[in-house]
Parts: sequence; C-alpha cells; structure tokens
Amino acid sequence: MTLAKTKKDQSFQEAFDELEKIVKKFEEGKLDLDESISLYERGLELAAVCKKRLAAVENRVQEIKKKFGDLDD
Amino acid sequence: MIENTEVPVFSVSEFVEYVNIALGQRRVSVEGEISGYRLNQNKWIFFDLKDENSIIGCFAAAWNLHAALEDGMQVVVHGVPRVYGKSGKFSITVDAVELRGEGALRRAYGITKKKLDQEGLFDPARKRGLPRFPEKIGVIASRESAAYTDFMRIVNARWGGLEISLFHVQVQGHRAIRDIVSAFEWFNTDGIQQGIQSLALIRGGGSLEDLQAFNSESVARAVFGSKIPIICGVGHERDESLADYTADVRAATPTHAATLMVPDREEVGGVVSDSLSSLSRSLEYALEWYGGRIHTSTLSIHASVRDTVAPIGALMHRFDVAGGQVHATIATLRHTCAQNALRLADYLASHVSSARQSLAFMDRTLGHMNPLTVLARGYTIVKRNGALITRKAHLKKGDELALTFADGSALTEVKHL
Repeated sequence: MTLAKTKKDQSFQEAFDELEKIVKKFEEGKLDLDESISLYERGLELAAVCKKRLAAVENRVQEIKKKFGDLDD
Repeated sequence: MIENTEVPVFSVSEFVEYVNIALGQRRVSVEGEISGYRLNQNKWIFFDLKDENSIIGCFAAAWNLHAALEDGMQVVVHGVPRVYGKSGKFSITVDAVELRGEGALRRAYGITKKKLDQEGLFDPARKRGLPRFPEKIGVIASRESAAYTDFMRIVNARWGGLEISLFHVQVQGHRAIRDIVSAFEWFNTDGIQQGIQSLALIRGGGSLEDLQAFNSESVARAVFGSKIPIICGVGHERDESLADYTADVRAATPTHAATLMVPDREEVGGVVSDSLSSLSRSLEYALEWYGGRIHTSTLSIHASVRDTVAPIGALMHRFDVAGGQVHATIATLRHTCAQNALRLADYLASHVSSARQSLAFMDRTLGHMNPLTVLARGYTIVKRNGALITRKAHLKKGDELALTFADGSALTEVKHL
C-alpha cells in the first residue's frame, strides 16, 4: 500500500524529459561517437528509471478533513 | 371575549423577539416565483416569492447567494423566517437559492455565462496545461458518486504511485456550492503546500437542476481562482457547465478527465521502449557511419600508400635493371681484363724470351770482353802501387810491380829497361 518511491534524485517527469531530449539529439544526428556512446548509456539509465517507476501499481488516496466547521456529511 | 390573565403580555419588541425565537427553531425551504427582485448597494438582495395565492418577502446578503436571479424565475429558497422589528415585516432571510425548472435554469445560466464571459473567465489565453506526469493530484467530488468511482477506476488502470487528495463535497443541493468553494480554498492553501500539481472537479451527468452548482457564479469563480491547474469533468458530453468553461482543461466526462489527467503506463512504457529502440538504432547508424568512414579512410590510406610506394617500386625496378647492367658491365670488364691479362702474359712471355736471347748474346759478348777471360788467354795486368801500367815509358828501374794472372798475383821488380 506504500507508494513505490522509485525516484531518488529525479522525478519520472525529469527522467522522461531527459530521455526525450537525448532521443531528439540522436535524431538531429550532430553527435560525435564519444557523445553518442555516453548519451546512449545515459539513455539506458533513464529508461531503467522510467520503467521502474512504471512498475508502481498502487495509488494512495487520502481524504481531506475539512476544517471549515461544516455540518453533517 | 373573556380576558385571560394567565396569558403574558409582551412588549412589541419582546413579542418580535419571541416570534423570531419560535420561528428560528428551524430552517425552511419554500418554492415560488421571484418578483420585485432588486439589489441594494450591491450588498443586499430583496425580492418577493409568490405563487397563485400568496406572497412572502425574501431578504439575502448578496455574497451569500450564488444563483443569478431574475423576476419570473421559479426557485426554492432556503433560510430562516423572521420578523423585522423596525418595519414589522415578515420575511425569509435566505442563505441559499436553488433554481427550479428548465426555464429558470436556462435563464440563470445565460445571464451568468454572459457576465463571466465579459469578465474574461473563459479566456483561452489564461488556460494552463496540466503536468504530464503528476505525482500528487487533488480531486473534488462526492466520494459516493459513480463519477468518482469511474474516475478512480480509470486513474488506477492507467497509472500508479500517485498520491491523491480527495476533498469530499456535496455535488447537488443547497450545500453543494459552499462545499465546492471551500474545497478550492483548501487546495489553494494547504493543497499547494502539499505539492498538489493538478486538480479535478468531477460530477456525473444530470439535469440542469442537478448541475446548477456547477453553473453558479461562485463555483465558476472558485474554478477561475484555482492556483492549481484544474480539469473539470462534469456530466455527460452534452452538458457544458460554466465550471467546464472556466477550467484550464475541459473533459467531457469524469472518466475522460481521468485519461487527460494521468498518463497511461502502457502508452508511456511504449514511448520509453520506442525511445530505447530509437537510441539503439541511432547508435548503430552512427557506428555504421563511422565504420564506413573508417573503411573509406582505410581505402584512401591504401590508395595514398600505393601512390607513394608505386614510384618507389618503379625506382627499385629501375635500380634492379641498372644493377643488372652494372653486373653485365662488370662481367664484360672482367672478361676484357682476363683477355688483356692473357695477352699481356703472351706479350710478356714473348718479350722475356727475346730478352733472354739478347741477354745470352750480350753475356757472350761481355764474356769476351772480361779481363779475366783475356788473362786466361795469357795476358797479364801490371799495376804499380795499385795503378794500372799500360806503357813501358811509365816504368823505371827498381819499380815493384804487381802482376795479375788469371789464377793469381805475383810481385816482381824491374831490373832492366
């Protein structure tokens, strides 16, 4: 029931955005071989982070307790 | 009439207070048609509520009423009946109004929509996007509603790991507006602090009457004032509430709101996988490209080496040929030398034999001239004190002379001249 905290330093959004940027850079094709290889490795890492986060299944719901002095519910 | 002294006598004020206490025991809800609607100082609303036979005054604070009212509208007012001491007028102090009937609702809807539109509440330019991958979301809904159940079903099917804050509200009836407005107040303060990134206001479909809270000015303004980007999914597709118009994103239904609010793990997983394949392909392509370049470079180096080496080869060849020629020349020279040597030898040999003959002849000649040979033939050499005496005139008596013969010497003395 606990939230699977896959992010350590990086949120899913950040990891996904960075991965998209890397793919875009590759598509633009202006990388030298060294850059290509190091970016490819980074891409693998990011994809792993994303996939791990995608494995989270549970959502946690908390109900807000009103404090406005409302009546019945 | 018989006076009953048991009945207490009130002062007017006491009586008004007495009546008000009695009347104030319970809230009332009264349905009727509005007439004589007026707004005083933008603060106080007065109107009469009437039906075929009766009429009752109504009073309300403008900030407390959330419906757009007009004469002729059918409404249910909620409030407390009260007698005003100063005027002696009996009226209902209204704290909520619900519109009744298609006509009233349509008119209120039209009035409010026009007003809010003119104020710019529906302006597309101010609409914000929802975060693509929210971690914390808020939901304003009735926890018992099918709309909420449907919404959660879709959210859970699509995405996991979310923290969802549900603010339970009444979505219809006179409490609905206040509930919803206070939900927004909470999200604008505590919700923001908790890092909630997007907000959904949802409700199932219904009649105009059921949906009237979502067409109220108060809820529309609350939606407009939301500090968190908000998606509104109210009713079925044909229903367009003013809350829908005001929200950053409008969803047709609660389930549609869920699909717009959270990503789909299948889809995102696909994108991640596609990204990986794209990266691999790109890298392969890059490697191929560099491989091709290396190949080309190798060929080019080969060609360049060949171009450099070829002249050297030619030179070597020429050198070889030249070497052969040198060999041949040397052989020829050697041969010539050998022949010359032979000829020299012959030449020397022939010269040596003739020289030898000459020598023999000269030897013989010399032999004839040798004094010793002459002596052998009987001649004698005469010397005095070592000097050769060849004439008699050189002699005098008594000279000692040395006589040399072929076989030796003898000493003699001149005795007679």
